[in-house]
Amino acid sequence: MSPPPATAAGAEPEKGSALGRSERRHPITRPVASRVADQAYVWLCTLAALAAMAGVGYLIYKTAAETGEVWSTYGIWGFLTGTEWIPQPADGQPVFGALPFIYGTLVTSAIAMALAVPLAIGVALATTVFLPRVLRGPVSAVVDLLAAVPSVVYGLWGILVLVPTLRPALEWVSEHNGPLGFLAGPVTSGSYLLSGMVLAIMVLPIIAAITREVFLTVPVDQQEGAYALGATRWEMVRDAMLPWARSGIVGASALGLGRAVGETIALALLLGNVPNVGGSLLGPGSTLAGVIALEFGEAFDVHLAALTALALVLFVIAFIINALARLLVARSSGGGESLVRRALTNRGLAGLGTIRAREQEGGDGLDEPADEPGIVEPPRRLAGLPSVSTSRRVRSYAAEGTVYLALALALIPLGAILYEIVRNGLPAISWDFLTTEQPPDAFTPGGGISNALVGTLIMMGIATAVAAPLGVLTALFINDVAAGLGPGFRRIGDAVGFFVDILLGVPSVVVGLTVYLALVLAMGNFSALAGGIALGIIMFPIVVRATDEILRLVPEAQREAAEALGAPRWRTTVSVVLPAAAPGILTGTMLALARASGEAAPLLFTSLGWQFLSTDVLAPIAALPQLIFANMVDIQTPESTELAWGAAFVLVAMILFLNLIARLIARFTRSLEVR
Amino acid sequence: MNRTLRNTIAAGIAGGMMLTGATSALGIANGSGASFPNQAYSKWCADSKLCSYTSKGSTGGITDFVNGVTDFGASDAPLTSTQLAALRRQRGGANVLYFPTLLGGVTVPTNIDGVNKRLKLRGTTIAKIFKGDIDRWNHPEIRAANRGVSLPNESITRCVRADGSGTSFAFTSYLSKVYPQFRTSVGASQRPNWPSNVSVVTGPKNPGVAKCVNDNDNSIGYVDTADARSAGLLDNATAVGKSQVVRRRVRSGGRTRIVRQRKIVYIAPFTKTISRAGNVRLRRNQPLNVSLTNSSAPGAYPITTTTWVLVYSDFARAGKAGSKNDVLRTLRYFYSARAQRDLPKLQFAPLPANLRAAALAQLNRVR
Repeated sequence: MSPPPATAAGAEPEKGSALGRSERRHPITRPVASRVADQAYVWLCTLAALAAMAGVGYLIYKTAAETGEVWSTYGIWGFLTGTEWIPQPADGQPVFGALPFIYGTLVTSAIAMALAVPLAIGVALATTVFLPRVLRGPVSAVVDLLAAVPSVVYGLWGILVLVPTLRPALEWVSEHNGPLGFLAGPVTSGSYLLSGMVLAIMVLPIIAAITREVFLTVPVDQQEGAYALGATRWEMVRDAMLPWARSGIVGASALGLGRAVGETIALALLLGNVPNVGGSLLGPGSTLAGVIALEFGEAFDVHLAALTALALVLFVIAFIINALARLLVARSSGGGESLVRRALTNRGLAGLGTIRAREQEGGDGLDEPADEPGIVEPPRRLAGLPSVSTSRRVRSYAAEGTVYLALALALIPLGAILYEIVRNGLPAISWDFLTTEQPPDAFTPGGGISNALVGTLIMMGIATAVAAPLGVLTALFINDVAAGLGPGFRRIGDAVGFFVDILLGVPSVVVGLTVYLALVLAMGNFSALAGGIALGIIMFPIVVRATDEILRLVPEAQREAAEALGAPRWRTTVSVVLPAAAPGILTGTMLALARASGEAAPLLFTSLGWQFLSTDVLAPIAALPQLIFANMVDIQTPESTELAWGAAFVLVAMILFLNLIARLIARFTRSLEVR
Repeated sequence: MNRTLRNTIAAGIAGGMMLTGATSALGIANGSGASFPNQAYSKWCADSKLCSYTSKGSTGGITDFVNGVTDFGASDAPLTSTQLAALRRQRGGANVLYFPTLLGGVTVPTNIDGVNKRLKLRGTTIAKIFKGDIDRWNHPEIRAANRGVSLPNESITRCVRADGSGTSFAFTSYLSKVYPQFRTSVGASQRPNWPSNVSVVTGPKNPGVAKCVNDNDNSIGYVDTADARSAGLLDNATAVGKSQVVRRRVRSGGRTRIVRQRKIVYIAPFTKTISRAGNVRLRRNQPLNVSLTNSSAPGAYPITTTTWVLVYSDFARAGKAGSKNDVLRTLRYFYSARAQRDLPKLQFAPLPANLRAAALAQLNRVR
């Protein structure tokens, strides 16, 4: 059993194999076609990566080009540390300072991550190891589903349900912790703490889903090895799974953080929109993405430049966060190696290990066609073996309890939101609702969502067609092609990955604006195509990040085995690497699609909207999130609210349906694989 | 594996397959802009099938109009000089024509502990409250206007918009007209500079402000009529006082005389009182971007605003020759008796006859 390469990027054993790969190529003479195909594969991936880099570069350039006036007037330092934001003063010059928004973004994201990451790991562990097999699928499907809930629904749920529910508790806290300062009253309806909690609920499904996929890639022999050495379930998780998955968890968290940092409308609804620095966590604040979304619609001249400068600040924050995350991964990469040694030197385990290893002889797990491969059950206890010591057993139970607690804590709010959507949305659903165009106004009962539903489907299709192939190819470049070309290229691959990650934190409205400047103005009108491309840009980094995390965990031994059999590079990728990574890639693509399908802000700049049913990709088109937003936030009448909840229900159901299809495809191809 | 990859891609472009049988958008005018008139424009467009409207904010509508990516714009505020210059530069020297389409009131609902009726407040008093000069509900100025109402000795919570908005612009323009100190401290703008030394709570969009008023005791806010109604705040909308010349019968020496007298009258926001605000004198061929707030017309609700459809003065020069007829047909429908009759149900007021006639006359100037 070889030590697990906890992080493939930058870990030493990999470098060696990359060199070995090129050495190996010489003695085998290959047909020309195969070599051409290999070249084509390399070029395709490189082109995709270059396109991605060009795209990100263009986005940053376009954004930066709009902000010159801000830096020349206020100075970089002055803008970053300014605490006042007065875009339209009664008289005198407008004042723009970014500090309150930077502060608000950091505080709300920190609260969100502190709550979401542990819970998400708990959920991922529960759905891979601890829950009974029959429950794992349904529970993780529910969690996945929540990645698809449009953020405006989270925001409204926060206002309508969470704020009133938690208010008494928060008031109690503020009265009894007054001297602590950061928890002092008065309790306002919008606050950092509540916003952070809602953000946590929003990012939890993303982190949990990717982490689960990562756990599922932990080699079976590694888990069996741990069990064979007599490890309890918790010890197996601690020693065999967590070290292996560490880089994946960091990657998943970076994805979640990207969503938290870039979140707009939920925070616009929940945070109170007061530019504050410091002050109580129970008081109001404002975030970068939130202020951009709220003020973009009516901003012009310097104000617009200042908002764009805030977007640039967000780029930089995303950059720093990613750099830190990568440092963290690099530093922790040594942890995995000691697994076997640590396990063996554990008191009383060595002897047991030998017995269990002999017992398990014959099957190495990899070719066992388990119906959900990846995770093995702990073996039944054999009679006559020394029993597990009480302290270890207690620790295992405690850990198990913690995991279930995390699962419960995560499922309660998630369940509450789903309940709210079903309760409010289901009564609106009928055949007519799906096949009738939107009602003429918010006071007329009836009407449906056909124009918005078709528009969303078309744009999701375009977005996926743009983002999925480009994303997977870019991830392959980062992971396989660049690394294969030599150590220098590996660094280029890392750089590409890094830049793509910056896209994660870009507020969607900025993506919309860039596509407006680049495509809508060039074409002379709004179109479904422009909307689809904007959504594709939002999906792209998520697909790359998710695919990258999974590709890293495809065991190197499998690749080497394929190459040893003389398979060319592209053949190895297509027949070995991608099948192993397919479920993870699908999950990533579904998450990306779920995230993009709920976006309203960028569509105002790209597909605009259309009151009638249209399938013309070159003309403006309607979309579900816009319909929800217009009928819940812009105006609220009993009729419009019912329509909006119905639309939210359909949007979530649609994602559920796509998710199911993806899972079926994954399962189907997997069973083909085994045969 | 090929299959997995192929399936993934196939699933991805499944949506794209729906492109077959594309319907054309030709013949339907595309407009974007102000959210204030959204309900009316959407209804008119849906009923007439002549246009499609998307609400994205006045500035967004102006930007789209300037860039020529829509057929008409919609805005609550006239173009600024920069925007006008950009329009001329980018649209071949074409100018903008303003077409007022409807009237709407900005209500000032209150939510005061123990007071469950419409409050009477003068424009100046409202200005002082939102400027921070008056901070208690039992202030003498408020009490004087509301005899018999027991006003609490509580500080006032002001609910304002979190986003930039035409409603804020209309509200603060009115307050600036009646109380000059308001203009110099808070200002008349889409994003006013609210005072920081008193309690100001922000909510996104009109429903956010309405919710803020409902959620906070002893609060006051400003909301469009439709959302005030939806939030159940219409009965608590302030009757706004303005100085007006009233005729009064005076009995002296057994004879009845009619005397004219200046007096404070309090006017609540109803369709009729809002509609009266449009009774303004217009010169021939005057541009129709007139402000209607603080209208001197008798019996007119003073915080009334209009909103404009923006039309190129010359479609051919603007490079939009193809959409001229669509836009003209659309506007004729907007001014039809049928369309204007829809307005009260949508919580707007129809244009008075003079304004409508002037707008129809202006249609002939579109080239």
